[in-house]
Amino acid sequence: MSAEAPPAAPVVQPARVPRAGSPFLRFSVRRLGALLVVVWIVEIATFLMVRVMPGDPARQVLGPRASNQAVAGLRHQLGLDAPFLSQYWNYTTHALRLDFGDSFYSHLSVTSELQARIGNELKLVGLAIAIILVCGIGLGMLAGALTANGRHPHVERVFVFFTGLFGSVPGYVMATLLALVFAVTLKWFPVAGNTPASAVVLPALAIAIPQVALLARIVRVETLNVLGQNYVRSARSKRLSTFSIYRRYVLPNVSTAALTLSGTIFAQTIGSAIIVESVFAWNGLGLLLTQSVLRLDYPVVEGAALLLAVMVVVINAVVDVGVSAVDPRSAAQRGLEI
Amino acid sequence: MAATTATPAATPTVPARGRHPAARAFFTAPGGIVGLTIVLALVVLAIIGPIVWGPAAHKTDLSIAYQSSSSAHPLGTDSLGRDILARTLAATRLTLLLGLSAAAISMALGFALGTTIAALAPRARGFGRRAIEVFMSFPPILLALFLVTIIGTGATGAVIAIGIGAAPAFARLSENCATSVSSKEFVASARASGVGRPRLIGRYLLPNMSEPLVLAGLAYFAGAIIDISGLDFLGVGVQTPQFDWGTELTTGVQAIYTTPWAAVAPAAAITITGIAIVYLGEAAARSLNPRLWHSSKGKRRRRVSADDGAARSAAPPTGDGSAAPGDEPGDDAVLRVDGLDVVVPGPGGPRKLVRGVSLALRPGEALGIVGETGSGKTLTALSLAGLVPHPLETHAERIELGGVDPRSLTQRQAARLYGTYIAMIFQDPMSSMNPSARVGAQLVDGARRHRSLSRKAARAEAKERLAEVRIGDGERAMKRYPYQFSGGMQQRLMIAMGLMARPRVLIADEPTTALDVTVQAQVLDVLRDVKAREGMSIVLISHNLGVVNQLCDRIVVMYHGSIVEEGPRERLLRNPLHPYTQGLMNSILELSPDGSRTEVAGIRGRPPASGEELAGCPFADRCPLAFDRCRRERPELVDLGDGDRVACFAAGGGLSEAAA
Repeated sequence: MSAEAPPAAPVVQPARVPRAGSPFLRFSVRRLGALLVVVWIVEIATFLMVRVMPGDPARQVLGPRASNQAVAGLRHQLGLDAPFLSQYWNYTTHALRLDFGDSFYSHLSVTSELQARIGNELKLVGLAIAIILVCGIGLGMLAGALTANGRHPHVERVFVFFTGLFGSVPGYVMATLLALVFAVTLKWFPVAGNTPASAVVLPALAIAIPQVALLARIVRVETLNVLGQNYVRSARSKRLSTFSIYRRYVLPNVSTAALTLSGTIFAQTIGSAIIVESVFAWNGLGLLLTQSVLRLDYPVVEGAALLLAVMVVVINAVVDVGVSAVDPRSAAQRGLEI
Repeated sequence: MAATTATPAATPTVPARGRHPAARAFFTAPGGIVGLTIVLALVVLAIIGPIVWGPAAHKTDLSIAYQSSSSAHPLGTDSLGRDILARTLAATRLTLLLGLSAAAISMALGFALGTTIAALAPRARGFGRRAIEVFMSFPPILLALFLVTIIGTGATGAVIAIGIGAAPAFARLSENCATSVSSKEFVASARASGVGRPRLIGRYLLPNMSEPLVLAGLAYFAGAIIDISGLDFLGVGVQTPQFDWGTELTTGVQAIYTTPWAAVAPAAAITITGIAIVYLGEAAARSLNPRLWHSSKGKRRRRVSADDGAARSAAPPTGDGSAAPGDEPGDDAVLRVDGLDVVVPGPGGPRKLVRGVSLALRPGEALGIVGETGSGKTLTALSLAGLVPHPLETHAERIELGGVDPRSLTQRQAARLYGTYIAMIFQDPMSSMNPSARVGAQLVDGARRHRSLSRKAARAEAKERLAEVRIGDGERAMKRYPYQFSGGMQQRLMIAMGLMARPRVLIADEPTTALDVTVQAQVLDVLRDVKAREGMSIVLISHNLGVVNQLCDRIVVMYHGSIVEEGPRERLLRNPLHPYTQGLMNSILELSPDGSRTEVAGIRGRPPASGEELAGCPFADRCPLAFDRCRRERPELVDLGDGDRVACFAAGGGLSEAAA
């Protein structure tokens, strides 16, 4: 062995993946399949919601004094008088077109009610998620960088205190405080409603702040972890600039780990949105759902619940696929697994 | 939240004085006492609250509605003129009961579901896990609105809804715990020794799962209080005439623009309760987990204490930097350090992990540094590369990279000097490469920074370097990720990465230790090639004299932080002078692959703890030749001429007399 290098030998070992094709692509396809299954289950759940209720939903809506005839009429309108399976068939074919009948309350079609609000919902949730990502990862990494190796213990204390505090304040309290300070006192933003364009800022912040606190905590721990890894030492041995060490070596690895650990944070934004929309009278799907639940407006409840649930599922899938796009290993592993 | 304590814990060293260590850990945890006190106060309030303040809480008087703080109503009154403080205090019981019930539902359902899934066959378990993950992602509020539609508004609906909403997360935790505990050795051995199933579950599995589950339960309790108050706020939770903190907070919040103080009491109650429960949980975690009893915060202390050993302060006649670096490699040295110390600051004063090391590396020379674990060889290597990790500190009389002392440069200049002059490769190639970046990007980033190459030029050069380390299809290799290569390939990638800097010195710290024997040979071949072709100097760190023998021209042997012997390879291997080197040689013989494991002297005993201050020679206790002086006085490294140096009272004479 030595001087004569084996000329034929150098073959790059192939990826340890049994089948051909990009693992990322395979993972995405499987994830899409899983997504459809979950959406289907959610659809069954919304179908069953009105039908497993103790008592007669039509009677619930119309009250004890309504005539039996009126109740029977409503049952027919809700499609509750048909055989069970044909009810489901009917419901599904209509749900596919987002057709859930007419609202009891506004007498408009549920489709138009949903259409009027989906844009607002996406705007609010989208902005909130952007804030959560940027601030959560940014603050967490900053705190991690400052407190690595036990430096700046006071920064660590302040960080832990404030993330703990903001992470445990109920969403509607946060929303109300923001409204009190920035809308009522400072008058920078409107107190409620959807206009002007800046009206989205306060509700988005109210949703984002508690989640930023949670994500920043996770990211800090992950950053400390990544900074201790050998590949960061390699990067240091190459004397890369601090900026590129953080951008190329720390950030991608922190993000994948943090996103994997905190995948549910993004779906939870939908939950906070439901509450925060009530505070700011933000005309989104969450507000519609809450109002309709209280009004026993079942067709709208079905439609709004299904749409929100689909949003949750889609957000999760996007996070998953995003993580696997950034972290090739997870895609390869999970592509095989799922 | 408690799950994020991912740091490895040190083994407890000092026995606790006084109280039981678990109790001590609890009370010294930040917030432990505070959390416990508040929670106890809440329990008392829950019991007496409705009895003492119930009547006042219900007394309406519209004439005093919306009043601010007064002596009769310290926190003011609400829209019906009821005393807010009294209502908040009286609401404690219902609030806590609702929270507890919801948490109990989550835990019961989640535990049943999780343990069932854990008991399933692997395939079904995988399916169950993913189903749980899907449900976990649904926000509890959405599930709650869903269930409230079915069950109807009210406290019962809210509790059931929140309870079910958090159950999947608890199920996953239970499943994780059950799976990991049941795969532990002690469970397997209990099973093997015929412990019955009920007893196995009751005595072996459950006790070891209880800690994380109880902690999570506390967190769910706090979370449930907040979630239920959210439902109250939406109007689908607790309904009048019942009231809890959530309803009180809601009425307060709705009037906040006119009477801001009305929301203060219930908001504070909810927040304080939540924080107290979290504190209690963290303190409880500490006291339930014996591994956390002694180490409190930060990795720093831990890492230091992991080096262990009480610093015994003796009069230290430390053999510091006495011998000048072995003779001639005079001024042509590409790398030179004199009197290098690496110290770790500690409570008992700084301890020296490397003491008085002097080295000089000639151009094109391969220098091997050998020694046992803890001998300071890796720290020496890291100091040469300027990479000693915080909180360790390096002190040296002289450091020169090609005649330039990096300490005299600005940070930026020093970075450039190190980045182009020295490249370093490490023991574990897999973990030394960024897992989320392609190999190509990692190959070129250093060169692009320090040598201002264009992307294209850098990639072209990277291809050449890959060919030098015998990776043929460079283009393809650069598009791959590190995990797609075998261990030997990865180490060759690391070498190529080092070569990209066009360094004068390559420092390799145990480059072959993690590899198979055949792959080791390949990597050493590549190093030898590189040395011959580029005229590069190499410092090879290894615990294995055999590996060093294959590559190095000169060998340095380290023991307890100092150099004990140095010499040309031929001489040192043929005629080792220091008893420690002789012992090392015997160890090689012992491990020789011919299967004849003849009992050789080897080295008996263990080395002293690193950093420990000793009066005499650190090897004295293990040395067959030791005499009185060895235990009193530390031998200095004596120059014997011809590049031979040795630190031993017993050995040095032989060679110099022979030479004379």
